[in-house]
Amino acid sequence: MTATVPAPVRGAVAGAPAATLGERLAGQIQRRGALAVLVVVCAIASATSSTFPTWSNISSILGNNCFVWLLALGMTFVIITGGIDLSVGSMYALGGVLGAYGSTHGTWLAVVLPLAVGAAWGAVQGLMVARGRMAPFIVSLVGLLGLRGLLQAVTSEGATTYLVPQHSAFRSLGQGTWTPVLITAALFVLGAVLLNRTRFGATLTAMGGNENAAVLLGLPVARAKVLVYLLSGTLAAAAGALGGARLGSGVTTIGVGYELTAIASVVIGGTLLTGGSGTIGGTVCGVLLLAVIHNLIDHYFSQYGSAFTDTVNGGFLAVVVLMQTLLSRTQQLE
Amino acid sequence: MGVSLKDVALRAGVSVKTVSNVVNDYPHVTPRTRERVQRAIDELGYRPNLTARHLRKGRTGLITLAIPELGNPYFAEVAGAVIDAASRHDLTVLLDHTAGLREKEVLVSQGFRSHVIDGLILSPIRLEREDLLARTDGPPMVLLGEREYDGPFDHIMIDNVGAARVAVRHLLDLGRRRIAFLGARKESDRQPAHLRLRGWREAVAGAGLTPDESMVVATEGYDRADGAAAMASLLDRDKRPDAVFAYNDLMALGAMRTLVERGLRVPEDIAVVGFDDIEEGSYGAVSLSTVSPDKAAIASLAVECLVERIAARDGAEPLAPRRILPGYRLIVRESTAIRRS
Repeated sequence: MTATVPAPVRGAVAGAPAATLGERLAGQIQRRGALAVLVVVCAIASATSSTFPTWSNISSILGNNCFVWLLALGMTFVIITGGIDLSVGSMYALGGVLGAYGSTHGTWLAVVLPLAVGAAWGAVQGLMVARGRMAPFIVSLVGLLGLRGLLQAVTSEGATTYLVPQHSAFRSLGQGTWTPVLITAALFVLGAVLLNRTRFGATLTAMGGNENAAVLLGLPVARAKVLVYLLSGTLAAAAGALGGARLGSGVTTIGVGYELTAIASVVIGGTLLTGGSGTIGGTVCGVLLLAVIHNLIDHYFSQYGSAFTDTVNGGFLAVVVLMQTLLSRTQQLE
Repeated sequence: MGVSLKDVALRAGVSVKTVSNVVNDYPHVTPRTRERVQRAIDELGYRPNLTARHLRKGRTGLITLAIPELGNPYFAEVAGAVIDAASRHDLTVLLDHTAGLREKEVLVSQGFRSHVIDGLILSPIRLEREDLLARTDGPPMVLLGEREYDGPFDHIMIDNVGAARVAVRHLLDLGRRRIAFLGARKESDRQPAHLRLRGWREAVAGAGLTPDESMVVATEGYDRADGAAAMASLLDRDKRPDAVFAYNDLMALGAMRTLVERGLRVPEDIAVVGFDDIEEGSYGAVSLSTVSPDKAAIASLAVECLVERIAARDGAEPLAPRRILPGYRLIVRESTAIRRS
């Protein structure tokens, strides 16, 4: 299962003559910029704050957020193909409610039900994008609104509550720090293998770089597209279900705007929004960086109020994306 | 002088430790021994010294419930339900009153007198998220009520936006088109009033209408008088509403009083829906339609979460923060019961 795609179709610098040192450096920073910033930010935080490097703080960052990072994992695949999936936030909430509902009938249903619904809706989105040639933005916007509506319908607008039974095995999936972290890490590793070591992964990168070329090469572009949205939907529902296991209940109001955070993490991780280039490792750095920044802002700026924290958060995001854009522009100009 | 463990042990002819095992219901005691110890306990009338037991175990069997208003029947009803739920776990509830003041809420959340209590259920009004983040010490805590806090805290709250949407849609279903909202607030957007206002906007917009902001009346407080004054100011405007969704039942009752004084009929001229399902809403001259949060579920979930958290306090791994939205339902009574003619 190795990549058989010719090198020239990959990446934004396709067909460029031998890269100069500066160009290669820019490329490296674009791809590993998030890691560099993450290391710097963590170093500064550890040096200046006594609470940041403590295990209780780190375990709370990891344990309370890591399931949401799975949205960014699925989103990485989607964005590499040049697409976008706005439905994942709503799917996250729906997955939580379905998981909690399923857990009242047994752990197996709590796992199977969200996965099935996530995969089914993901496949529908993929078919609309690949076969129906509809814009991913619109198709997944339908998902964002429609799934939220479905969620309101199955809970009668939050009037029906589904609790995860206290001693359900399902609930233990979300408890503590290590179980969530290990589940998330395992899925990220599987994702990296899928992207880097399989024909499917190579097809995604190729079609994101130049879809027509990929089609001409005889790659199964349409099938890959369907699978990518299926993967994203399944991961989002699974993440939601695991989140529900952690919270102990299906929370209907959760997940609003999560799709945007996921997209931001992916982009900060160096994946190009236009597709064709991206790594799972980059996305890991992206989600960690956003989580650490958020934690630090809570620590240093929370006394100024939540409106201010959101502003700082947005400002930081703008700086990172601006830097990344400048870097990729230098790369393309040369 | 009371009977001690030692007396029981002497009478039963076993060690003090064995008596302790029986009293605390630990395993590894044969039924015969257990029976003998129990007989000795009964004969001597031994009762465990609770103060001593709490000193040994570091638990007092007391939890605090801090609520913002004692005068609001909603909080009185919730407090009653919490006391019921707590008694099922052999816990006694101390009631604290914060008057909805931020300083008081911060004080309570940071463990004011925490050595006396095992845990805390806090229903905050003005407490900010940063106050909770700054909380480094204090007893195990569960947040109760409708203010939104995004963060790793145990929180029991109903879906205010959804519930408000259901209430307003009920009015729309009656054919009402000019639906007012009483009780908006100018403060933080995480306040319940803001969430209910959002539900009002979504329902109105969802019916294809433009939410008319002149139909929104901001008030200072949540009481009957605030509802009456808000209704009066609304009626003095050019456009008269044909329905009112009030922030809570108290305000709805105040508004209905104003309508009676102005010679308007409920629900024929103006239909009214409240929120909370307080008991007096059912017994007015015109009974009040309302959104009824599942108070028993809210109370028992809060106590169960707290009991779990207290038990996990000594554990190596902290318990994951829980977030639960208990259910609610719309109760239709005379204030929106239209006899279609």
